[in-house]
Amino acid sequence: MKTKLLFIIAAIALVISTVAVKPAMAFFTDTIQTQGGFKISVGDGTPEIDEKVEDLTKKITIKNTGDYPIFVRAKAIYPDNCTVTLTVTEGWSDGGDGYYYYANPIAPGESTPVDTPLTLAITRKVGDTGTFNVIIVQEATKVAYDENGNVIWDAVAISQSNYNLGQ
Amino acid sequence: MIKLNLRKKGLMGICLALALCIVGVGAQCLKAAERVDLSKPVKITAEVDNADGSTFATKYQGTVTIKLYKVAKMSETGDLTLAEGFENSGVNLAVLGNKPTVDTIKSEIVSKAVTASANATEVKTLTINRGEGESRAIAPLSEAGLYLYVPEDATDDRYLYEFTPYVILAPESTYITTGEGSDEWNYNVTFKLKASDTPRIGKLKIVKTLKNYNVNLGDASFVYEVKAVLDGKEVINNVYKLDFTAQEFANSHTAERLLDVEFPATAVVTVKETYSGASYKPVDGKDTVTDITIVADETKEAAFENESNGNLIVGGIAAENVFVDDEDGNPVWQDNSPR
Repeated sequence: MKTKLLFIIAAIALVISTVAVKPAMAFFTDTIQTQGGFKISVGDGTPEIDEKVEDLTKKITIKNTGDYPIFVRAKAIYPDNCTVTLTVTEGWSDGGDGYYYYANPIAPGESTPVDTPLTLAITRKVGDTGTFNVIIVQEATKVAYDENGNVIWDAVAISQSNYNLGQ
Repeated sequence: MIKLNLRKKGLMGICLALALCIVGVGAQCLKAAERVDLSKPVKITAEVDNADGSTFATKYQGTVTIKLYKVAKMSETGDLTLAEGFENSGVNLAVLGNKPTVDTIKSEIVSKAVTASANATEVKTLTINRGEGESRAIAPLSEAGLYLYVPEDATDDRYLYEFTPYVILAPESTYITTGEGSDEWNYNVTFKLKASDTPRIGKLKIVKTLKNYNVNLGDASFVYEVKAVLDGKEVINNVYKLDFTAQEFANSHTAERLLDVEFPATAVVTVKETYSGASYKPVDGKDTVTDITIVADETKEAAFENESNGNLIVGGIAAENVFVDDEDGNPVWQDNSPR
C-alpha cells in the first residue's frame, strides 16, 4: 500500500514537472524552420536608435520597441583617421570591449534617458581631410528575471557578457 | 579671300599660336621679303615634349592619333581662301588681321572648323606610338595653307587625356609667330601636343549573403572598413554599412550596396567586415577581401557570407553618419541617413 502510494505520488510529480517544463521549453525552443531561417519566440523588439549631432558630439538614445524589457548597448565604428571617446553620463559606461552599456533595463516603449544620452565626442586626426563616416550600431537582449520577477543582476551580468538566454 | 598682309620686316605681324603656346602679337601687315613658294612641299610635325613633365608626356604609353584638315589655301602672296569642305563653315579668317587673341581664334576659327571637320575629309592622319618610344610624327603636305589639327582623346588604365584642337599656318615665319626675327618662310612647322589628364574612376559593390536568417531578430546591419591604396599611398579609408532585410533574404539570400565613392582606377582595395551583425558570424571566419584592383568604368565586388551564430541579440538598422569638410576644411556632420 505504501509502495503503491509512493508510485502514485511519483507519477503525479512527474506529470506536474512535465507540464511545468513544457511551457518554459516552448518559450525557449519554439522554432519554425522558414526558408533556411529559424524563428524564436523570445520577443522581436528591435532597439530603435535616435541620434543628434552637435558640434561633432553625438548624443544617442535607444528606444525599446518590443514587448519585453531589454538591456541595450551601442558601438561606434569609424575609420582609423578619427577617434570617438565617451563623455560619461549617468547610466552609460564603457565596457572595455568596444561597446557602451546602459546599466538599467529599458521597459517596452521606453527609451534610455533623453537628458543623459550616450554622448560620444568625435575627433578627426590633425592633418587629415576628407569625408568620413561614423556608424553607430545598437544591440539589445532580453532581461532575465528570477522566479519572483525581480531582475537578477547576476543574470543580467551573464546576459551582458554572453547574451545567451537560458544559460 | 583674306590677305595675310605681308609687309616689310619692322612692322607687327599676324600671329597664330602654336598648339597652346600663345603669342599675342598684334596682327598688322607684314610683307615678306619673298613670296610663298607654292611648289615647295610643306611639312607639319606633331611633337610630344618629353621634357614638359606632364602626366601625358611621362606616363602615357599608348598611341595618339591626330587628324589634319586643310581649312584654307594660301596663295603666293599669303592670301588665305577657305578650302573645300569649309566654305560654309562660318570660319572667319578676317580676324587674323585684327590682332586676334587666342579666345578669338578659338571661337572664330577653331571651333567652327572643328564642327565642319565632321563632314570633311582629313588630308593626313598622324600617329605617335608612345609605347614604341616615338615622340613625333610628320605629315608631308603638297599645299601651303591654314591647317586644323585635331588630336583624338586617349586613355590608359588610369587617365583620360584630352587635347585641344588648334590651327597652324604652313608655311610660317618666325616673325609671324613671334613678332620678331626672320620673316623667311619656314616650310617645316611644328606643333606640340599637350593634354589635360583626368583620373579615371571605378566603383565597388559589397555583396552580403546570409546562409540563414533569424527572422525573429529582424533586420540587421553589417559594417565594413574599406581602404584603397594608390601608388603606395592610402587614398580612401572609411567605413560603410550594409543593411539586410527579411525581404532581401526571402528574395535571394543576398543584399548588396554600391558604394557612392569614386575609386581611382588601378587602386588596390581591401574590405574588412568589422561588424558582422548582432547575431551573425562570417562563414569559415572569412571577414576580409583583399587585392581588389579597381578598373576604370567598371564595378568590382567584395563578397561576404555570414551565418547565424545562435545568439539572440537583437540589432536592427545602424545609423551611418557622414562628416564632410566645410569651406575651412573642418569636418561637419552632413546627414544621418540609415540606408
